[in-house]
Amino acid sequence: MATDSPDVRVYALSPNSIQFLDRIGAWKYIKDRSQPYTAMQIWEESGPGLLRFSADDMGAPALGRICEDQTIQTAIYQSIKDQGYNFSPYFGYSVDDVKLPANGNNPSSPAVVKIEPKDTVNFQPKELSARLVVGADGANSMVRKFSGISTWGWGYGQEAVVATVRLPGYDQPTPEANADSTASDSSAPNTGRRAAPRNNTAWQKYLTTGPLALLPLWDGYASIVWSTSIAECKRLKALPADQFLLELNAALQSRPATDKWSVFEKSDATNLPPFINNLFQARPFGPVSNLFGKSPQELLQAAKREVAAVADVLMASAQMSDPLQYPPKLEALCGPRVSFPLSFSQARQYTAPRCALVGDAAHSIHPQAGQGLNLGVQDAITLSDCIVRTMSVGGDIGQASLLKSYEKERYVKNLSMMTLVDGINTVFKDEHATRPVASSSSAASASSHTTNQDKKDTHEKDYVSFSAQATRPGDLPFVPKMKQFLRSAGMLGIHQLGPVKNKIAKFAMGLDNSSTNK
Amino acid sequence: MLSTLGARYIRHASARCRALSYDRVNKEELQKFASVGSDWWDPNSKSGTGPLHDMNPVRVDFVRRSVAEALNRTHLFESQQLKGLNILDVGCGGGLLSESLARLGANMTSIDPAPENIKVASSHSRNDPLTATINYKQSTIEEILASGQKFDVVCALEVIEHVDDPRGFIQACAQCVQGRDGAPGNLFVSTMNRTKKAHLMAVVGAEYVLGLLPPGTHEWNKFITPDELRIMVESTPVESQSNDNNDKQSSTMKFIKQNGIVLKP
Repeated sequence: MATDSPDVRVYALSPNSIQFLDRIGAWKYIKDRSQPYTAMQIWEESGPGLLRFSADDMGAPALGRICEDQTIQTAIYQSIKDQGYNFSPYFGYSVDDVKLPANGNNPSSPAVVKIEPKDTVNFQPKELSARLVVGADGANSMVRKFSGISTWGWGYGQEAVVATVRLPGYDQPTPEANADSTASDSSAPNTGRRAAPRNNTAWQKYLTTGPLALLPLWDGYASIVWSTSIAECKRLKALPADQFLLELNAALQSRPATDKWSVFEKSDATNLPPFINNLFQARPFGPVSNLFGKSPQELLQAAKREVAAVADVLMASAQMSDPLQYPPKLEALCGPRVSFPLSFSQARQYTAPRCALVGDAAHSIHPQAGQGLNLGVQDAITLSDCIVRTMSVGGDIGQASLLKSYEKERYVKNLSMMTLVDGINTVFKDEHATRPVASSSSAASASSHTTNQDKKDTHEKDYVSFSAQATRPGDLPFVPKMKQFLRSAGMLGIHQLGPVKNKIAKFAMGLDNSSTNK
Repeated sequence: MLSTLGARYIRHASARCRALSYDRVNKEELQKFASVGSDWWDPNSKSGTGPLHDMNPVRVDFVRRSVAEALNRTHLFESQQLKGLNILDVGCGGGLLSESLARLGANMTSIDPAPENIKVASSHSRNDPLTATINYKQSTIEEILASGQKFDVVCALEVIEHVDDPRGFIQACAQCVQGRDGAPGNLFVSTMNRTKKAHLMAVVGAEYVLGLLPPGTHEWNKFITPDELRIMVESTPVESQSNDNNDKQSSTMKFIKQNGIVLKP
């Protein structure tokens, strides 16, 4: 049972990664300080799109677990010590230089790494020679820099604000409450006098400015990852804590701006982009229109009505079978707000003579799919398998064939996942996004679009209705509206297609990854 | 078939010279390897050693696995299974096999009649502390036999097809093997099978079509079939300590294509 609040740096570990950590004997040290999530809801601010995954549908105990960075690192060190390996770590040093052999095919000399201590008074610089140098030193990898490996990619122009928050309903742990706890699963620790609200869902809402994720932690804590523009991020970090919490809750609780398909609202053809109009003016459509006795415009309206009807059925059935749920209101902000920049980046090579890059040193991905660390773990699994295979035939672990087989295995797989996540980012990106500054005085004027029903709803009363002040989708030009329609309809469609959803979830959990975890 | 075999062995027996052991070494065969130099360690070399790099993991795996099974060491980590064993590598060339076995814990003695090969092998082995302990000697198997040294494992991989008197060679190798603690010693021989397919692939294909090996590296007439090898070995007298016949273990003529597929012709 954790008594201190979680550290702000947390990761989502997929079941595949957890299996690996278990295999190396580190998971037992992480397990108690991690929170499983059994459901994940993804929805949007500007439309009715909704997608919810559930571990029960797939018969899995959890979709993944959220753990702290420090806990994972300490657990791995502990498991190395447990197994009695000859392991000499140099803590408090940084890499000063890396010299690799010139010829990768015939690396006749070892690799040399020079390290500098931070504390130059008590410690000396060292020169380490190795058969293989593994660069696992993150996005600003020194090993990558000194190996002469360059990267390609782009910055998203976004940063993510990360913070730890607290849910209501979790009191301090009391011994008598634990004794009569009726909760059968340890996943929702019963720390209060009454059964505390379950905290096993991961929430991700696509605001117009970027995704906002709420990830469950133990003891009623949760982690938020708010990706947004750099200026907005700076503003959010500078806000006083209670103001930040107000904006956070408002963003999470706001209703979608419309529950209708905005793309069908205006029905005149002047709404269409010019190229579609020109298409219908062209001669080939003449015979078609004559055939049905209607003009192209009328045909278009008829088509629109049909599609709108189908889309309405889709939306209605989603609302009936598995409607939108709202995340819990957050009670307090615990700890600092930190931020990190978001980019899409891939090293041009993962290997150099006697050198391999793993994890963020090799690739950088948008955090919105929670795949960053999991890709790194898969890199580690693949590289360690290559090393074991080579060692079992007495080979040189720095040899080119080992490095090449590692790179071949991981390069494309990583790039595919990064491209997929980048694609999702593009789908949800809204170029017309604006976010107003929150203040309680604007709450009153904001409710102009909400119905009476909404006003009476105590659920929304306390919060600034941002959606009213964000650009209304109805005012957007055609192409963004169509994009939003396709996106929302796509989400709702997948939401109701169990088998398709399960396949997607399995992919994200790494369970159909054949290269890892043998 | 037996009569042709018999005729073949008589021919070899009469050609045998009992003078200096180096006279047994075919000078032409030696020349094929003399000019390889640092190409021994280049996996992409065209001077004939390229395919050896692809083959090496497979043959080391076979040697290690077989020794571990024979000596009941399969429960150990792979990198520990050859620990403490004295292994002789006959015709070590640039040391490809020797270095791999040394990293698996073996005490290696490696011999080759060509001084250039020994030079290349010793200087390369100094790069890694695990391989720096290999004892390289310019020598022949007959000399080792004469010195009375015995080894737990003797390896003569990809050598016998370059030797004029295969039967004598096998005898000499076998007599240097000695088991310990009741477990048998092991002799490993690998070569190419004398089949039409091997001729097509190893000689014509590798040397002339793909240019992987210099033309003339292999003489098809010198390839040995599995049956011939078995006969040679099983007729070798050894000092009977535990077993009557030498425990023949061979990699059964594996021929590996450039892209790493192993064929058993």
